[in-house]
Amino acid sequence: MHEELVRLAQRGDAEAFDSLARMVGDRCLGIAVRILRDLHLAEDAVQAALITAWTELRTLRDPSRFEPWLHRILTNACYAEARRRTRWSEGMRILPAAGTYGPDDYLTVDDRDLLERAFRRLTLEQRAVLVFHHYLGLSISEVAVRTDLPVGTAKSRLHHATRALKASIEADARSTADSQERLA
Amino acid sequence: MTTPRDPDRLIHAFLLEGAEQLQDQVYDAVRADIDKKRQRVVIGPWRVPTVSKLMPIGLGAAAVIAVLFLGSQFIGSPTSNVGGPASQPPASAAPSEAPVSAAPSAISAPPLTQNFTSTVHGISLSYPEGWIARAATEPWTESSYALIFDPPTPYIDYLSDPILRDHLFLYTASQAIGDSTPEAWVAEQMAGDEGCATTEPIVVDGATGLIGGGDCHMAVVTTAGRGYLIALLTSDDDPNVVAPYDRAWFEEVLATVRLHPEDAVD
Repeated sequence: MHEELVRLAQRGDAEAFDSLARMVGDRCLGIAVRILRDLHLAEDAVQAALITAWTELRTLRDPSRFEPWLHRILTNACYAEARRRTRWSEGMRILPAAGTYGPDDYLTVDDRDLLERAFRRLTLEQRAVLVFHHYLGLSISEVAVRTDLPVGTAKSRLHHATRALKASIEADARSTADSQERLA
Repeated sequence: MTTPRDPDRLIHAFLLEGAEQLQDQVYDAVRADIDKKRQRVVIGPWRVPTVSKLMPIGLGAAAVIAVLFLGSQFIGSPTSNVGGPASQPPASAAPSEAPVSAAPSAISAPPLTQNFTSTVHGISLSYPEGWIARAATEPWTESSYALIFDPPTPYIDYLSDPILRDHLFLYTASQAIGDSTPEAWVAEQMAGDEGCATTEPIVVDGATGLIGGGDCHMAVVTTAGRGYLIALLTSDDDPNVVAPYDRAWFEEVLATVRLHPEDAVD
């Protein structure tokens, strides 16, 4: 189904590409919104990625690899979108990613706030690696494909990004414990 | 006292949360945009592993034979000038004889003995002996074209070398030019091909159009309200093998082309 649509789209069938886009669009938004932490930027990045995918589709050799190929384009579109917006509106306050949340009871409001701040301190490249690994549940080698990195680099980037987030969580936990001790 | 929380689980849970539904207006915007945008035409064949594994061995053997042949010309010949100045011709050579450097080519193109007629596109042409013809099964209705070798684009005629396959082939297609002028249609096809940076006028079987300059072996012509595209694709990964298939050879093929726009299917 997927592959047949890719083949049709490679032959210029815009209808087939539209169907294909609708099959993969939600997941693309999920990735982009988690990397960029802004729904509107994410929508723009997905739109740009899909248009690039259409124009470059004939360079895709293996139709079964459409989605990883698209995700690589999307990752670059996210980087470009973030940089473009930064240039145009430096200092603009970026709002938390709004939309359909699937809340996890394990996370408190404070956890979300803490992780949101810590996550925003990461580079876009670190965020992308974390998102592909945790959100899509991909192995390091698949993450490397989508971020166009050597496997070793993807691995170390994931390690550093995770360590940075954990450091924030641990620092917050220490500070909470100190406060509780002082109150006691 | 607060229970210690698992940071890995916190990070994972945090990254699972977020928007996951792309708005319809984004799809609509993409659709509106792609309807106006042409897809980039792929002019080089993809490096799919379709070339026979015996090919490198065959080429190696051909190279060895060529070296031995050339070596025998120098070592075995009683008129050889081994040890003498490299540029000095043999004493027995007549003034009108070709220079020593004009060694025979180890690989030459097969003769154009086969004839192909496309029932869809209304074109016939000669092609090399032993090559494989795969005729188009559908009319070409899009403004651009996708050159996919395997499975073949159904609206393109492919004439390919049996071993090199997608590394060496001729292809043709045609379509009614509709409301376009012949010049506009030809220009559009040439613009869609990134390899044809320069062009020059050409006449193929009485039809006028353009041929790509340099290494771009593509001719685009129109006649009787129909546009024709005829091209030779050679992969640059083995220059020794594709060397005979140059511009001169392509023009030999073009000289055999006969256009029958009245027989084409739309």
